[in-house]
Amino acid sequence: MKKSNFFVLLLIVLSAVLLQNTGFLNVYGVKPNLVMAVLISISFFAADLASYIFLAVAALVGLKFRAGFEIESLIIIGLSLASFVMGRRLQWKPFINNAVLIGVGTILFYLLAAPGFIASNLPIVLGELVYNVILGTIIFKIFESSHG
Amino acid sequence: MSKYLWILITVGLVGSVFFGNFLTAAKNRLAAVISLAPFEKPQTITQNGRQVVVAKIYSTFPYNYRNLISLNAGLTSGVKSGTPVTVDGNILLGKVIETATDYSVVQTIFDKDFSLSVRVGSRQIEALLVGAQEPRLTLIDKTADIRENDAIYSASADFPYGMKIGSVTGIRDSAASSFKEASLRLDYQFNELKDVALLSDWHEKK
Repeated sequence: MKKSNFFVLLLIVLSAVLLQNTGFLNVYGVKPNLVMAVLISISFFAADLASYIFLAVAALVGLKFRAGFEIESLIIIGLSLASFVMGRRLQWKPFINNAVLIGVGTILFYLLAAPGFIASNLPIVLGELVYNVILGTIIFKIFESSHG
Repeated sequence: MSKYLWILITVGLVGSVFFGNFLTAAKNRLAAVISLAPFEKPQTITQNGRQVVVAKIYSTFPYNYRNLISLNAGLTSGVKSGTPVTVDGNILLGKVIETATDYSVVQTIFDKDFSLSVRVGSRQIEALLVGAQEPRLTLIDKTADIRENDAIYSASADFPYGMKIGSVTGIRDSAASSFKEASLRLDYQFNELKDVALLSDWHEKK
């Protein structure tokens, strides 16, 4: 798969970070994990692991909300790196790999960050899962078509 | 050479992610631009004999499972950890849980970790407000005469006593439960809030 310009990817990641810090994408109380969806989608288009790690860390700097260590940072870094590796190994079509990784990533994020939230707010988690997959698929398709 | 530069930059960013918050205020301002919130300094006014800091909501917690907001008022505006946060100076919204020089983080009543002792209606029925995307009242005595539209007031030492939160709706009295429960009707739309009022002299007056 043809690789994208690093600075284009960085711009997209930073835009996603800013959007995720606002309530703009909030639909019926469900906010997408846009940054995770973007990071997983662009993992298919990043030139190499080093530049991808840089993008993931830059995203987390922007998502940092409180002082001190945030477990979400560690989880998103882990999920992003796992998707970078897994996306290249899964045998389905790339856009299906992308959707599966975003769906699994959403569930894993909650299992690791706030497992109790899944049981008490299942409709929100499922809504976010669908929302993330839709946004991630759109981003993936835009990248794919822009690369001919 | 460029490889080492990338490593150096990444290590620096990793350090800032895990240990620093020096970029948070700048990020909040950028989020405010996206939200079309004007760059205004927080204003300190006097309302009903109280000192109130009117602050802008600059960003919201990026994930669904917490409901925290970040304001453009911090230590320089007299905001401290524990400062009560209200919608218009009269309706309780939450409390400050973290402050920096020029921003603060607020835990709202919609946060899953928020809970508060409250009194309901003119009969002063005791209940516990439990934070959630749709906050609810729990631990209401089975025999309590709680009614629709009864006003809900704060009854915790952490907040001004008798500050309004909302009103009662959707009372549930299940045989399987030892207590009644109820939902809250609020006089505002949380997603449409742009400003909040912080009772900055609350701790001095307490």
